[in-house]
Amino acid sequence: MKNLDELRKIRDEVRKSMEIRSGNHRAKIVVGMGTCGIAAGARETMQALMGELEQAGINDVAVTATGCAGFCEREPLVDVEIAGQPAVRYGKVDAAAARKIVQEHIVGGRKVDSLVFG
Amino acid sequence: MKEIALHLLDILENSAKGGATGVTLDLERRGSVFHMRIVDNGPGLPPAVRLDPTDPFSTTRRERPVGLGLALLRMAAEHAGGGMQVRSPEAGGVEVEASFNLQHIDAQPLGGLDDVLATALASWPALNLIVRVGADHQVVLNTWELKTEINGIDFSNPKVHKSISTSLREALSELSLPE
Repeated sequence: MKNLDELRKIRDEVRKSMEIRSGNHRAKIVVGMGTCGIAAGARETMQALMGELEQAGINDVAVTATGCAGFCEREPLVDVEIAGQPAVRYGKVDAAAARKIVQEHIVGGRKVDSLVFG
Repeated sequence: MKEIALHLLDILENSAKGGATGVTLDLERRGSVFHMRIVDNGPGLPPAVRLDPTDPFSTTRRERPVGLGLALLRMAAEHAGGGMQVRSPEAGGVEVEASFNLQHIDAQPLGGLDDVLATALASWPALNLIVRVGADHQVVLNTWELKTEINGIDFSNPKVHKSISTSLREALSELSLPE
């Protein structure tokens, strides 16, 4: 890796921004990354989530994945888990929907009712 | 799957879910033929799947008794004038090899391997990847080393994701067909 210094710098920044919460993330976003999720566009969904968070300068939110939840026809599924709040599940989250979730739910603090899985 | 790279992501999920902690990935393009070899250090395929891993009804899934990942990969490779093989020795580990003629009329586009690898690291942070490119197996990513070099690196962090994806883009560029 040519960018070791860059990665080290990011690690230090993240540590600093999480110290106030004793090392915990403010929120976790979990993308359905089973065969069904991937085929439905979960990779693009994750790219959009990562890109939007990065642009917004948000450093204390983690984006990770889970497997098939048994609702293949509603993939890509995205769960937003904000510390201290009940988790919210969204269905059919394409790249545009992913950016909306970051703006309204993560930044704005209001869940996106039109996208909630239910 | 719309891209060959997405099949790779899917196979990496199998390794992560199957309990592997490491995968060695060899990627190579010879002329128009793209070749990938994925070897994990997990426990190997369960006996029910080992008999015919590309049979959709051989699966470890519990949501419903059908698994399509390897079957889809085999179909995509064969449609692109290539092929796919799965080996799972008794001693453990799973090896998946697939080749595609990128110029075949029915071949899917190769797709963004850089994004797929960065996505895999964020998705399954416990799964280590060694990625080697070309006939000389040049190592372009080794997360075992990276985790030692940068203690506490968080692959699920958006900035880390971008940095890894960007640095892989150049390292993997030789795998795409020249414009």
